[in-house]
Amino acid sequence: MNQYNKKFRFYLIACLAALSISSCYFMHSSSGGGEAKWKAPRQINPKDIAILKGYTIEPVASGLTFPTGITFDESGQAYVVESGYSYGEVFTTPRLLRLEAGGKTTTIAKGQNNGPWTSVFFYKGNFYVAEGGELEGGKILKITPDGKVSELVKGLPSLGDHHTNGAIVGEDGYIYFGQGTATNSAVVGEDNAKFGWLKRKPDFHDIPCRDITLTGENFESKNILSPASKEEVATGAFSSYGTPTKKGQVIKGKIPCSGSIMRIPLGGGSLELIAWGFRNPFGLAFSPQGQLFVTENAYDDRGSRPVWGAGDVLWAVEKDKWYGWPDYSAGDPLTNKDFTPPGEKELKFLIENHPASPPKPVAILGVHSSSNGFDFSRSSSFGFIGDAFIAQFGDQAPTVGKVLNPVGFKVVRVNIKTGDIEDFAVNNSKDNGPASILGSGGLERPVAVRFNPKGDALYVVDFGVLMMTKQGASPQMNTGVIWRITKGE
Amino acid sequence: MATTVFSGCSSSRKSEPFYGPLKGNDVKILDGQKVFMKNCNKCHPQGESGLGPALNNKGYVPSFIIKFQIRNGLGVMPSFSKERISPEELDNLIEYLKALRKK
Repeated sequence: MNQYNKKFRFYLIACLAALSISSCYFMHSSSGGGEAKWKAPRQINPKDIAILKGYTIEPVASGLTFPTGITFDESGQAYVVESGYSYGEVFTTPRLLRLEAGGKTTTIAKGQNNGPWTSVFFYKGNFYVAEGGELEGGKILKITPDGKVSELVKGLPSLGDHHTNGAIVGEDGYIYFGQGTATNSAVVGEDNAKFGWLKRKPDFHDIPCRDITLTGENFESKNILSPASKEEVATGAFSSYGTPTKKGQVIKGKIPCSGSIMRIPLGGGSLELIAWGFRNPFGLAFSPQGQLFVTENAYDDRGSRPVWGAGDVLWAVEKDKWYGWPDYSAGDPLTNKDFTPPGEKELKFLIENHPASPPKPVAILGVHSSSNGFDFSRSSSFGFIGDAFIAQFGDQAPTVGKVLNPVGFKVVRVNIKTGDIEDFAVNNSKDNGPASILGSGGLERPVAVRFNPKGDALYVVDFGVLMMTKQGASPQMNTGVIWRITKGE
Repeated sequence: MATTVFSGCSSSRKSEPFYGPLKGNDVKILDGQKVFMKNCNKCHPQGESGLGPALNNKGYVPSFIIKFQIRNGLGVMPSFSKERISPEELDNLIEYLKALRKK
């Protein structure tokens, strides 16, 4: 074969490879993990889960409805919260449950119709719960062992897309928690009506933690609040729907605020801002060295200001730092073409005077993976001391944006020194995805993990089946499972 | 060509629960893994398909083609300049991708 033929073959291979990869995204319809039909009941079979060699996974409880968190008392007794709310606007009763032998549960406390309860943490005799607050605003609750519920703080800005999350108690005796944002990227739009809250709370919007000056970017949309009207409205950043903004306009910061980590004293009291500029800070945990870390659910490709290609983030939290929302993703500016949705105009900044350059992330996780509750290994009886284990709830495509294959639906391990991410427990199948679309008995939507006090077992809270239909999220009650992972085969 | 087009979107399971960790302590591969995690993993999680197509199931593709695509982007995939991924880092990234595919 002469050299011209060889060159021709090389370039032909190159073109075919390029065509295959470039055609993928546009020719392929969205194939997220919830985009399929499912028939009850949920199957449960640990053999359908592939886990790192040397480890075992087993179910310890099932039939739960929207479980989101787990904690342990001093004796090692496990407790779980059922959230009382799911995307898809399904409201049930939030509950704190004690896990009994044989997978049974005992109700310790019930909540008001203000879910989701997004986390639970036991500390010195009491339980501390983050009440997401979709209807009345977020709260931090204290629950005694005999089930008495009291409010330590209320009125947190949780009426929108994202909620009050991840409450944990530090060694300093403060309760730290995350406060998610109202919107995807600071602009209220049609996507927020689809979530369900815009018509319920038409004046709600994001609140900055510090004074910010806007660039005056406004976004046009049909008036969702008056569908009969054909008028278009303009909406600016950090403003209620249909309220435009001007260049140089100052939005006053206040506490409590959207997209932040805050803390309160154990017995309740003044709110203190720790850090801000997050989108949905969901999971919080202290490392064995006492450093606070957070998982942030990053931007979606939806709404008036869609953002493409934004990976979820694991951050080390530094006091008073700004982490970039709504103008940066994992430390990179949204004006970078990487984040422009295909076929759309390049994004512009919303804030004129950014507080600072955001810090660098510890790790960047999968786009739309919904990397949520996590914990650090502390014991050689489990191994990987110092590594973070993160539950990935999985994509909610196509609502969050299109994906070529399901993302998440697993537990991953992160080396926080290098930023390397490895699968730890995934469904044992030809393709990644939740058990419901694979027709198996494995993981569905892991939403949180927590090590027991001895550190020799990692418990995985599996939210259960949540499908994505044309109407939006369709969660399935009584499909939640608690799994336990231990070292040994 | 149609087979190539559509097979480019499928995935292969080669992560640690299936194949164990990457073998060896090759410094280039370990450095390449860091580059991958910082720049590529979010769209190709652990080399599998997610927002983007899988990278771990491709047959032989010459390194210069992979480098060309990384430097220039392709379709919805962004480009990565020398300021974002240095020439040395790019070489190490290629070594990591090769190691991932060999699993």
